[in-house]
Amino acid sequence: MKRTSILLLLAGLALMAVPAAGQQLFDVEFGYRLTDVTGNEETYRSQINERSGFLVRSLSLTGGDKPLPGVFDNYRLDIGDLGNSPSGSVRFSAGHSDRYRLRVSWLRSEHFSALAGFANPVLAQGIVPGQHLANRTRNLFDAEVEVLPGGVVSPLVGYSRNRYHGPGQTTYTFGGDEFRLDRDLDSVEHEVRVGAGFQLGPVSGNVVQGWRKFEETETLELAPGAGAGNAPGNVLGQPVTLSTFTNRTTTDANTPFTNAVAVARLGSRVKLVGSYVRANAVSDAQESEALAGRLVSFALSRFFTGVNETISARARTLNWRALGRLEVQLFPNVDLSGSYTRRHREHEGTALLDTLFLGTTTFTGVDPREIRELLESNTAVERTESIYEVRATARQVGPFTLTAAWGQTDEDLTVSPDPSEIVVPGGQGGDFSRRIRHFDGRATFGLGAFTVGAEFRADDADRAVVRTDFEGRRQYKVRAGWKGVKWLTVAASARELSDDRTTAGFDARLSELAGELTLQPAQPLVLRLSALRYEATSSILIRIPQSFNTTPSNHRERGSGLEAGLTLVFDPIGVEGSYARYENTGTSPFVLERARVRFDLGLWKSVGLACEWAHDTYTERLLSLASYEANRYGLFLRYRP
Amino acid sequence: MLSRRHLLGVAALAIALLAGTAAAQEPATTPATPAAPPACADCHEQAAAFADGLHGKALARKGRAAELACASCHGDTAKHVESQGQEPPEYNGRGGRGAQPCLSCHEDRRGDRSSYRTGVHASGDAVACGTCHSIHAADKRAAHLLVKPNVALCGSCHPGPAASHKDKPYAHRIGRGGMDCATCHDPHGLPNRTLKLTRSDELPCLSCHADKRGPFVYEHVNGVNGTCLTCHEAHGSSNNKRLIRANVDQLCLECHSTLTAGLVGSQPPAFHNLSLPRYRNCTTCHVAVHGSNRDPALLK
Repeated sequence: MKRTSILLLLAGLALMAVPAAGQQLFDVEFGYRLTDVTGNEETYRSQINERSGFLVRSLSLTGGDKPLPGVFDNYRLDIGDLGNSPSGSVRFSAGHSDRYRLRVSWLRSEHFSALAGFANPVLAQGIVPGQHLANRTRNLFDAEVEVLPGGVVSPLVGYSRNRYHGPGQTTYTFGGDEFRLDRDLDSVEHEVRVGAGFQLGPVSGNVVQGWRKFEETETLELAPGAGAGNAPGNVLGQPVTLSTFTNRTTTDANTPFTNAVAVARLGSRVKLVGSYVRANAVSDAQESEALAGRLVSFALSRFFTGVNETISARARTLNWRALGRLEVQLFPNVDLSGSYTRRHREHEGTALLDTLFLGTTTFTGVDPREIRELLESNTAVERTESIYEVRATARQVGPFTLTAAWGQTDEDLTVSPDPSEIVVPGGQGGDFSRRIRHFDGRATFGLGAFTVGAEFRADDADRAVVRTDFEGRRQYKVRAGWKGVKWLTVAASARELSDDRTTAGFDARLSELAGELTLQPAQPLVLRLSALRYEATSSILIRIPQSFNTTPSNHRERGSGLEAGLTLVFDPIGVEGSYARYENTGTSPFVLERARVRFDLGLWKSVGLACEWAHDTYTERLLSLASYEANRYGLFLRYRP
Repeated sequence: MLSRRHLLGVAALAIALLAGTAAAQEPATTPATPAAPPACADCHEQAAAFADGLHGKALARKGRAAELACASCHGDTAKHVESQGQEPPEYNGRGGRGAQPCLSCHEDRRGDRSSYRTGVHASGDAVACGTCHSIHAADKRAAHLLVKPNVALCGSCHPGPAASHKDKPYAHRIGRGGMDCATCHDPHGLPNRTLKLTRSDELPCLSCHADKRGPFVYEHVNGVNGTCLTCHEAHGSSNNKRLIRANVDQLCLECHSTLTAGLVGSQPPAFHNLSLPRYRNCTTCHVAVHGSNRDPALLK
């Protein structure tokens, strides 16, 4: 709140200062919103999270001619949803032609998650929300200055700060029961970067070197009153309880990175592009955990009264990517390009876990002693890809434009798995290679008011190596539009995607059909109607732990959406209204209905008052506890010349 | 109830509003501009307005007032005038050829990812510079001289994404806070490269969601087996995290559930009983799903 107010004040002061300096283009809308939610407020907060309070809906300020001579000759300020909103942003850019260019941005977003039905062990008892909750905030600040933009050499320096923090709630399954924990997270990442753009005759580009430092601390503690655990009853005649639990983890990661791009123009028809990106991330993590209570472990065949555990881990990931591309204009309407990209990624990590079980006794109550477990883990993965692509485009071949591209990707993968990470015996390590061939083509046809476009893409691999690898993918897209008269626009599109992984036993398809109609029977009135049909299906095998049997998990989404809206501007009155309904009749059926009405009244010249009503109804068919209905009412003052 | 700070902010903005309004009423000190070319202005209103538009002012400011003549861009107009408009001028703004006068000034010099000449929209008569840009007399507030607000302009040819933004329950807030189609897309980009890539050749998602950029010590999808769009549908989704599936578990299982031996990779451990609802929201526990600097299982 404090920060919001300060920003508002700064914005206000800036606005007051600017008119004196010169002409500017300025619009703003701010006001107060009231929110009323019935039903599951956690679901509402997880999905929409707009609350009652003051809000700067939008503000844009653009400098005109010479707004502040000698300091800057252009600037722009954009503010969106600042105040009592789940996400807001401030962006400012300014500069002086040929001297400098400044960009500053600040984004704030809230992350609330407390879904009623998922991962809720007490749902059967009718308890919502569940025991997993996150209520966090992210603040992202970024600033960059470029000196002498467009010059022979343009140095730049930038800084970013990204903080993510807030409380949460989770559970911990250990010692024969599940316990509720409170958690607190605070992570900050700083990034400093320096570099320069350059323009040396026909060669231009930029080189940037940066450093990122990441620091995170997370603590977990037993929630008040949660020592008895979730499971009622005893284990082997003994109640399982936890009296204390503390877990603290600190992580430091350092990542130097390099970006370089160069473009060379060789005559008027040939362009050569090269780029290189490299990042090397190294992290150190320390974790300590201490707990006490009356607990049981079937793995140890013991009861025990506490655990002290420490973990130290170090990991390194190196990524680099290099690209070269040649673009040639063969004829005035025919272009040809060819590119080669090489990507490399390697990862290696070690960890040492030291676990000490305190006060252990066998299930028969004898042999009290401490048991220590040590686990040392090493893992390494290396992956290199070579990607070749050739593309040709021919424009204005009659009413057609045609593009065709062919590509090939060669992958090499080396995996050195740690025995402790092997889940399914066999096939977990070794050297592998894979080849993928790509083809894509597109055509557009334009004649008068009528346009049609079609696209096709196919990817075929000779084999699958990792579980995420596809063997065949297809994508089709078609669209058509007609704008024959001023008062009517009609457009429609369709797309279909398929993903085939025969070796892995997975198949997925997605199709979408959309249409839109815009009607303007008279100048002040615009009517819109859009409809959408969306279908996604996938099928995969899962294993049921109790029986070790496999069973297919089928997912189906069958969504249909409809939106109708109108805009009526009849000075000094403006009305906007819309209604939208989206129903998903698939595996997890739900209906979401939205209605929006905005009534705008011009008070004086460009100043007006806007009243808004937003209505959202979310109905979950399988779990009515998760449904909600929300109404938001807003009163906003606007200035928009 | 509004706090004192809020009231202070409101007061500051209200004062600014009035100041801005007052400033807007002052007569603009427009520099003298050359007169419109007479012959063309007889038939074409925009010829008269051209000198007062941004193009006209820019040319005058740069001492290139001579180029204000219509023929500077339209080429030889003699036949057009003689035929009383029946014959088109040499360049009429249509198609790739019509774009040539624009490209004589607006050639991209530094960018490697954008090319007006070979761009995805340099596609013949269907789309040309003048389709999207109002060259003669655009609204001064319209960014890049667009003939319509960006979202409506793109939606007039691309109804799928436009409808998806409106009809699906969860979508980006297009049209607010400076975000529109061009925030992510480069309309001048090369075919199949229509997204505005960052300086590191990354997807534009990371321009706002920089926290997901990495590289992380323990990567998930980022640049390893996919991109943001492998899991997310940017134009609207039935999932509130804009996933391509309504339920997060189904999305994760597409890569992590296969039981066939012979493929390398991780799958859920045995205690994940995926037939129970409580294991169906994977990101409840695997919170660092975009990558972690600490935990290989992306739990922290």
